[in-house]
Amino acid sequence: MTETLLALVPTYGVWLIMASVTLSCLALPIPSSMLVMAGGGFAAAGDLSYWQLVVAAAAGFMLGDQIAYHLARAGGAPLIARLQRRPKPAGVLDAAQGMIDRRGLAAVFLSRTVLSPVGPYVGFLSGALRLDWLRFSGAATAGAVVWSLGYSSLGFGFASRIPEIATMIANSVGVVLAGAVVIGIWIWLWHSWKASQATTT
Amino acid sequence: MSRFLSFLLRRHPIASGLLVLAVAVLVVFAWQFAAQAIYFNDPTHQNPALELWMSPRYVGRSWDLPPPVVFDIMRMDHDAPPHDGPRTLTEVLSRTGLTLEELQARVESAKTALEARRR
Repeated sequence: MTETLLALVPTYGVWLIMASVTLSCLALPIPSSMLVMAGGGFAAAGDLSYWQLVVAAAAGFMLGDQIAYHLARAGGAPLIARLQRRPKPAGVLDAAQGMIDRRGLAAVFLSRTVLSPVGPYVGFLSGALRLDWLRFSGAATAGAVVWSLGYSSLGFGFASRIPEIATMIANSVGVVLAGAVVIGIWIWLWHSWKASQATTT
Repeated sequence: MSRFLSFLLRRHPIASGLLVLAVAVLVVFAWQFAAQAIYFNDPTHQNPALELWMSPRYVGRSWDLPPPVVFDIMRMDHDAPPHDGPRTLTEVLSRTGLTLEELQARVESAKTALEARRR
């Protein structure tokens, strides 16, 4: 599957890259990071222009983010409003909304770079929970530019080792995501332990 | 420490189980990453085997072969503009009737010949 996609890069060039990055912002399972990296390799070989690649990847990313945000804002807001009328989900939603308000920009930026697998969901949530559009777009654009430059340059620099780098990146994303889950559960358990200590003493 | 552990097992058995599972997943990914990094740094694994998705120029780049040499290997027209030529090795194979193994052998022998001339 990935190889079929890779073979399309020298044939259709930067337009394919742009379309696949846009679609992957909507949580469709397309290995767009690998495609951008392969694009970097093809740019080093002279099949594509490096700058056109970076611009296409970043533009596709921004377009996809805007689609996700506005879709969720239009479709998700009524759903959220209905949930908020019930007491139990309202508490969780308020907490999520508070977090998006306080740490939303960091979440948007991180989910577009280091934690890119969760990117689409943060995009949908930001829209549904009505994170300020200008702030969302600013953080998302910065993340998109860093991501596009990063993967294009990685592919450009290590042009002859694309298949190996792709596996290494898949594994490092696994390390980052599993690490985030470990840290998250650990912090929660630790707080719970501290709280129980405080009540017993 | 043991009080903390018994607290975890008593009060949060599911979360503790998930924590152990997440650590195990983390270790597997880290192990694979390390193994891949070691393989990556081994200089004998520098020239990648040809694959169908590669473009002729990409093969030239990864095997450090000048474009005219690549064009000869793949029986391409030297004067044709880039968009006229084959874009991927799949197209090269269908145009030339070679197999991927034969193409790989041609690339390897061209590489050896080039290195012999450079010495």
